[in-house]
Amino acid sequence: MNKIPLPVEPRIQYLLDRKIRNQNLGRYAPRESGELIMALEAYFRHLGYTSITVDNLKRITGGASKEQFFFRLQCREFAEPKRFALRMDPYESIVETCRLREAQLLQQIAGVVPVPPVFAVDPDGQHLGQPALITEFVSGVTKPSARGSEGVSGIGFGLGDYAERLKLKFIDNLVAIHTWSDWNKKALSSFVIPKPATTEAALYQVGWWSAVWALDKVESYPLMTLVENWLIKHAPICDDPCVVHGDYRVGNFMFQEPSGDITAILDWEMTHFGDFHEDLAWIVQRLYGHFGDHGQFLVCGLMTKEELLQRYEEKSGKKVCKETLRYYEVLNAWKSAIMCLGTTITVGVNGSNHQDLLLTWLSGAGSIFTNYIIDLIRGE
Amino acid sequence: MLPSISIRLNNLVKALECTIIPAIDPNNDLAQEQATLMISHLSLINEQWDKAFLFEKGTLNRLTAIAGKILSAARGGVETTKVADDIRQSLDKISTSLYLTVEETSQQVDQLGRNIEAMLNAAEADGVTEFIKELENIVLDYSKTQALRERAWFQSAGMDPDRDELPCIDEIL
Repeated sequence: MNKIPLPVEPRIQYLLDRKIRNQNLGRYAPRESGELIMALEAYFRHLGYTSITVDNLKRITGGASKEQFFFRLQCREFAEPKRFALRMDPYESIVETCRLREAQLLQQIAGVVPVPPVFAVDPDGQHLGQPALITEFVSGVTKPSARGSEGVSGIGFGLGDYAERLKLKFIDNLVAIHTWSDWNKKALSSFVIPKPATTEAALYQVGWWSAVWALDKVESYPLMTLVENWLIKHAPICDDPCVVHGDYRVGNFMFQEPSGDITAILDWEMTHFGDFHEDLAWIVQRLYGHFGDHGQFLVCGLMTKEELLQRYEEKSGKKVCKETLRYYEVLNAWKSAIMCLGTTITVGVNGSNHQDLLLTWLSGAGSIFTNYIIDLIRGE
Repeated sequence: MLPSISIRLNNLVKALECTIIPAIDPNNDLAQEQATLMISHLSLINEQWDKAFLFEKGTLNRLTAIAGKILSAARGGVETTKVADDIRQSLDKISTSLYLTVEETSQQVDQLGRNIEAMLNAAEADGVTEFIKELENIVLDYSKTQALRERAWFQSAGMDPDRDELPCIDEIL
């Protein structure tokens, strides 16, 4: 089939080209604390801070994508030491994303929803060795502290008694993201905004992930080709593109204990402009949910799918189209399958991540998504 | 004699549990997490290694069967006809060869899978409508069974929300 070339955002294409170059760099080892502290101190000197001390560097575990740390910075310009969070790219990740896009978006959307304030961004790793984003420390937890270390990256843990307290706030923040419209286009220069009333919103996503699959496929998988063709043929029109978080789910927001107040929406690395149905379809993925006490399936461990959609419509004034939602459920499951069946294994082969072991473990989730895709395409 | 692979894997797990993990700095969360994941991987490998050949052989048998169905149904123009010839050649090779290792078998699964992927694209280009529909159904049926087999294969990883309803590995070989 002579397929029409699919559109890919220029910044995404840049990231994929960088990924190819990084594959020649060999194995990636976790960043060592002493060396990272020296690099941070030199970076802050470059930014104009003086009498700098970086200490209390502590690695954050539990995620599946970037190297993450907390640290404390003292300098003459601060009245007192401040804590920060650092997100750094390894050579390859489960998904190639952009610290510049993340910083641009966080700076623009601050005040619309709670987000960690941006302190500095090193988009190409010129100063810190690898691309990095530094944000101010935000207090809170991503799962009830009583639940300890169960679950990997938002998979397989419940929110217990917090579910009732969190669910409405979870929807309120999602609606705020989707209805935000006074963004500054110039300040979001690394994003492409799809044309309204066209299929671009969907096809930019198909183009991105089709390019990832072409790079990371380790073994043929006919279903993936069938789905790609299906997604091209069935791409829906998006009348009014908005900000799509891209990974909005349990595990990617912080809340206070015991109030349940949401203190920050995290992990904006997959954010793009697109169709609001895409976030709803991400939330309802089975991998992020579990069965409640009464045998009903709770999306993100918070509420049933029906309740989510009903409350979202009420709060947003937007009408959820079932066919469009189904389309994005297929798209999201396909993306997730690409990560699990392709990227995790490619990274494992290359040894190009600080936790290849975790990524190859996640490869086992691929067939959960392919099974889901088949049911969706067949309307079951 | 060959020392039992299962026993050696169990010894690796015990060494991690009893000697290595207790010696890791309790403040080094990444090392603790990686060591725990090593135990999970080793336990899963111990459950799977002896069945890996039969699993891959089962995959190849199923893929060979649907490739035959696709050949019987194929109707279309130049592209469809060319890919049908490629599938026929792959099937001829498989029927006259003996694959004795997981890797050799996986290579044939990969090759036949690539042929079927090419057919999906060729049919979109010049296949007749009825064939496109039938091809989709054949691939979806196969993929549904294969997804069930793969989910059963990774059932012990504990990630599948419906894991309690899955068959055990022996039932899907």
